[in-house]
Amino acid sequence: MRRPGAVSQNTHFANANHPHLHSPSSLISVRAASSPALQGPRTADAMTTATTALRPLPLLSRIAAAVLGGYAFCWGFVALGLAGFYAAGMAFHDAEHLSSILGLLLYLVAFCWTFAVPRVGRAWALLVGGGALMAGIAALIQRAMV
Amino acid sequence: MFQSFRLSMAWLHTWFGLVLGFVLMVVFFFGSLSVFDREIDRWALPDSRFAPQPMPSFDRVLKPAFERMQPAKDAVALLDGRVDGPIPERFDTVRRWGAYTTHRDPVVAVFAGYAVPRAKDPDETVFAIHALDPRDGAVLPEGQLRIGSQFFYPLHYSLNLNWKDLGTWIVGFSALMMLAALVSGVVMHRKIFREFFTFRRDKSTQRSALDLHNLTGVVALPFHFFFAFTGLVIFAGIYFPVSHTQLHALHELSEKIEARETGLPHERAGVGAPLASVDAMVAEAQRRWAAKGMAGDVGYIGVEHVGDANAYVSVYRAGTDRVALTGEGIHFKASTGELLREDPPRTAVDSVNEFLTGLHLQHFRHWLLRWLYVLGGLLGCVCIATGFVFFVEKRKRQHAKAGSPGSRMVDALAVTTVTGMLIATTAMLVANRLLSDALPDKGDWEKTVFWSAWALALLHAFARNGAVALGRLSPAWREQCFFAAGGAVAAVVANALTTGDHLGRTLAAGYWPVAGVDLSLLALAAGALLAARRLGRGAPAAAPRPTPAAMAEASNG
Amino acid sequence: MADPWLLLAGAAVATLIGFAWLALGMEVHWTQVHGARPAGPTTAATTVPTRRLRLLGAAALAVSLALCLGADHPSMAVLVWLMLLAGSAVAVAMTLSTRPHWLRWCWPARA
Repeated sequence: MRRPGAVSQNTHFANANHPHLHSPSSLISVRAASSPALQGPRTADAMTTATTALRPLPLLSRIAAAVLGGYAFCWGFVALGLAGFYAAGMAFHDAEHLSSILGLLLYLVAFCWTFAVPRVGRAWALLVGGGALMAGIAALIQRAMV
Repeated sequence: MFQSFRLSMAWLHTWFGLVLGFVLMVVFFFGSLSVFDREIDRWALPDSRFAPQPMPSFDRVLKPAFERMQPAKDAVALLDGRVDGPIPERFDTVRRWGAYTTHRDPVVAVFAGYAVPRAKDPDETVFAIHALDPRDGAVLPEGQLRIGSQFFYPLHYSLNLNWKDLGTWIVGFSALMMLAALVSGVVMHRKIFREFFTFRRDKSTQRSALDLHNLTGVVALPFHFFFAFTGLVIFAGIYFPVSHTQLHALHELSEKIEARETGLPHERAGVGAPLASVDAMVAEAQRRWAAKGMAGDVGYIGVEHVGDANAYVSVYRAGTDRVALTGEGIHFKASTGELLREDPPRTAVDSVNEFLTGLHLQHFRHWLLRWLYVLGGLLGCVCIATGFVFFVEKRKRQHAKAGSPGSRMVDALAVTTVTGMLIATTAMLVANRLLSDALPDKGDWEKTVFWSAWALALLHAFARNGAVALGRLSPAWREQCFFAAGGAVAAVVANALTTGDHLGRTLAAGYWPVAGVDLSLLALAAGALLAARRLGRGAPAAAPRPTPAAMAEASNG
Repeated sequence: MADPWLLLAGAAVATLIGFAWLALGMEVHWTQVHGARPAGPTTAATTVPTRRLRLLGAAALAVSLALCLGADHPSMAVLVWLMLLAGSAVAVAMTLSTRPHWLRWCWPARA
């Protein structure tokens, strides 16, 4: 038997799902598959549609860009940070720790960004190119100091 | 590729969360157990059930033990291919000795690093690692596995998969994906403040699972984020080994400069020298800490370049009362006991780093915080498990209609990872009690039981989940809950029968390590039985009834 | 300086009450705890005192932080506080989900 509070709670949440509040992301919500009797083409999971519309090769490229490209970019950042901070006078292990801490956060940002950016080619270019550039500068700094 | 930022984050959260969720479940669960790893060790090794001891005397207890040590057989075997000629039989040049203890350890962890004659890499070091009884210096037998600190703990950061650090890399990537899942989850969850306290148990499994997933994810968000992040920071040297590869030369330069600046020699002199009284050095270190208003226990003693004129002794303070691990290092010339260096106060960057690693590695004495950490870890497990449940619930009816095996696969893997993991854990503890202590490779047998029990749970999960292919709940969930509960109770009973340290005795004596493990096992059994009962009752209602609200929502779509 | 355990117990209670108040400040949870609003014009006696509850809830959480800082070294106190927040939020959510009437005494509704 339902308690009064439960009824008003359901009403509240039903109102909160009023159509004009919907955006494509509400496809994540429950209503699409909440009852077998009401299944139909409109309640088909648009997430699934979005997924089946993703062709494998561009998707793999994007995943690779995020994982490998992201790693290359962060390697470059850590190397540049380490060499740069050390050259600027910071203790070696401090420079190492600071670059790693920032580099790991950067990996998170780069990873998410790679999925959000419209053209994956741009992601590849920025991540790999940027990473190589930063690693190159780090190598130059090392050459100058050693 | 994706129509909006939110959609791209939703895709990322769903698919990377799903795949890496299986790894993260293991990491979070065994990470939670690792909070009390040393207490689990006491349960598993009855001979070590004595009270924690402070660092014993170096001169009387530790030094004789160090002098008797030689590297472990399996560590020596790993040198194959890394030396010119045959693998050496004896290792006489000791690079360093180390002794480490915390307020929770009855035993002292000791290690020695040996130089390898004729090694291809001149820095090659092979290690011996032991646990010592601090009361008499006896080395604890190696065949016995410290189930907490030597199995559950490394399982959570490396999956015990040590070939080329592969397991550590997998866990690292999962940790990064955890961070991405948290960020993408927040992006997806539009009503994050409005639904902060929301858990609707009277709605469909799918809605309830999503509510619980959101709740456990959001309320412990700082915990989840910081633990995943600090885990990565701790192993940053493995993930980005820049100073050992691209900037190796810079690293070497800095070591030489640091050796000059600190007065702590980087290399051996090549001339032998005796070791003065280390106990006197330790006493001096403690006097200096007290003079600074930081009186404390000794956490770590190290001797570098053992037996050489350049040898030095380092004494570090245990960070029992704060988050940073050990600190306030004081260094002495080994042959004379003269003070070489007192570590200066930490720099800002160093403080931040020590705080981050210290909050994860938890060497502090704070029982409430430890239990709160366990709560956080278990909330993480619930978050991941409800994620799986939501994924399956959302798709299984469609998949059943289309004849697709996707939901069924995910459901079986979810059962294996959630309940199967509990079965494996309790089975290992039961085996630990039932196998004789005299068995030479008892640890290996226990590991075999662990992995075998998990494999059996996997087979059971796949065999029993035909119902998912019909869009219904798999009976494997309920059945494995019963197995896990049975295993937990069996472990408690086995402990009582084989050691006599039943709850009546341990609670009366206030011996919390063993009492705590027994009580936790009983709590696990109670929780599993409760879940099994709920699942048994709820099964007919698993297909949600169309409520007026749901009909309104669906027609608005 | 009071016994750390007492301070921490106080901190835990403060976070529980703080989150209970913050929850009650939301209409959906208020009605869960006190029952549906009676029909008729909304008066001072029937509206949810949201602002007051939110302010007091936040204040209670701040008091909890202060108590934590009194009990431990600051680096640990912050961690304890964040974890108490997590535990208390879950406790309040579970109470709202199973026995919402238990929270009636936190802020009795006017007759």
